[in-house]
Amino acid sequence: MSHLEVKNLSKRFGGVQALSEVNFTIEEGEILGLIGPNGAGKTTLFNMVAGTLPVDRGEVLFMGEPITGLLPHQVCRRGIARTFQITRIFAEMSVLENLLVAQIGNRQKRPQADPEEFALELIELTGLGGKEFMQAGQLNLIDKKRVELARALATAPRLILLDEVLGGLNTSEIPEGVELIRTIRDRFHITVFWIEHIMGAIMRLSERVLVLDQGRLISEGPPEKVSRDPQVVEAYLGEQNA
Amino acid sequence: MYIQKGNRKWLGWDQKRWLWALLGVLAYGLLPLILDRYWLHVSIMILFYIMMASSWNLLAGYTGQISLAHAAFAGIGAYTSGILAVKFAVHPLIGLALGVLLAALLGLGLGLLCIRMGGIYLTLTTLAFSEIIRLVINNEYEITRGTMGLKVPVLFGTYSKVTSFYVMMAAALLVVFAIRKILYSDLGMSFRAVQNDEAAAASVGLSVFRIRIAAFVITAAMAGMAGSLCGHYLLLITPHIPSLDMMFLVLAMAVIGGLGTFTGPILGAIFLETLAEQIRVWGEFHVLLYGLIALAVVRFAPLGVVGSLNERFSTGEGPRVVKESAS
Repeated sequence: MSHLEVKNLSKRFGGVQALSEVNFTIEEGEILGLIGPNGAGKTTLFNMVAGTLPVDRGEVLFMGEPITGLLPHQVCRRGIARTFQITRIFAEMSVLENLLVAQIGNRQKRPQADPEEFALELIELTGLGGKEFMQAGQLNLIDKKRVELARALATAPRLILLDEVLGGLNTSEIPEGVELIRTIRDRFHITVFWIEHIMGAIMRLSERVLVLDQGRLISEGPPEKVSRDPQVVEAYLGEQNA
Repeated sequence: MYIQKGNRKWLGWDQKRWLWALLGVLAYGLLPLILDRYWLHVSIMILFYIMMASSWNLLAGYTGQISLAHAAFAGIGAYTSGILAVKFAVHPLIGLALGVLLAALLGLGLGLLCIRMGGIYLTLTTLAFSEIIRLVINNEYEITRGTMGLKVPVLFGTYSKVTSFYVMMAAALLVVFAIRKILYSDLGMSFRAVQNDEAAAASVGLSVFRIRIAAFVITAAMAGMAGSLCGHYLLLITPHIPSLDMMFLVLAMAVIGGLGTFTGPILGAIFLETLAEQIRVWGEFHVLLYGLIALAVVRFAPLGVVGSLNERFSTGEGPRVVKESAS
């Protein structure tokens, strides 16, 4: 049984077919990358898995159970956490409170745990140490991204959806971010499904990569194979090389 | 529980702050000994407004739902217990409980109606609700006595201003303490998360639907209780309680004191009600002064008096700013 199974997922916005008949699976503990040119439907796919967007057609199964049609907070309680492409933190709350509020709906997943200890552990892990009492809205972009990541982890997920979590980082910070994602997977045994535009990072970290183009899955496989796929080169890398 | 353990803080305040709060409450409780009848009346009305402004602040300041139906809920509480007492000889205490219940139920209904709305749309819907309630009360003369007002019996025992003072004070303490408890509970944190960003709140497993409805129900119940107590203190329930006049006064108290702060609405209620009694002789012109004060506050202290002081001195008041060290 796959950890996450997406079957024939389709979405139409007016005249635009944002996603058509997308099928794939994620195995437990895997790091799966999702790439594709702008407007390929990557965030739409995330939003449909997370319950933010209603599904037109198709099905999403998480740990063998259908989660299609569940509301975002129900999806989260089932064990899927997410970050947003444009950060959405609780700006008027402290960093610590951001992580505490994320645990309220998810207590039954870690009944014995102390919320504050867990929050402080995540603050340390994501490199926010010393900023726990700062208002999240006053942080810089990178720290806001760290808060979002830590907050997603605070919901004790089994699967995490990261939408361009490395966006805005400079070249020296990217390897650190890549290592952080790997650490998170290893430490909490979380499956990672992530969208990223930074090719080097996604090719280095992902065990498998999916490529979306105009709402269709055009390639899937290990990074080396995908990056040599002529269709991908044409649709995506080709566009950059042209 | 969200404040670090071992630093002797309880509900966000250290021992010193609680001591000051206790002294303030004791001092207020001694007022009947020194005040004349007129100022005793003012101090009772202040307690009523503290309940109204604080509970409205819980809804508007902490969940961001700017409702204009708060006075209407007070009216529902007042007229429920009043009509039950006058027409059906129900004991006002039972009427009070039923009034709170009815206000909570209508709060649930209005909350459901507004669930997909935010900002100005929600405000306009609650405004319409408020006016409907007021018009029904005004026009159902046979039941409510319309603008003449409904003469109602005292809450219990024989009428005494001093008893009324302590009843109102106990109720105000209950409401204010309940609000403090809520603010430092999971629910209070959820309120603020929903106000900050609904999509993000949903993404971490919070039911935005339930949280917003809970805020409406809880605050409507508090307003219903305040309204009912006020009616049985004044012995006359008039459509002034569910009026927009009342609503804007309560709103001004919370905004001038500091929306989204705990002490702001309390101080705002004390200040504006005291002032209102001083300028009563001006008649309708008193509204002008409220407007000027509100303008001055918005210009020089946009977060309200308490909010702006917090910002400037970072006193750590309220759950908005947490300043304790993690040791």
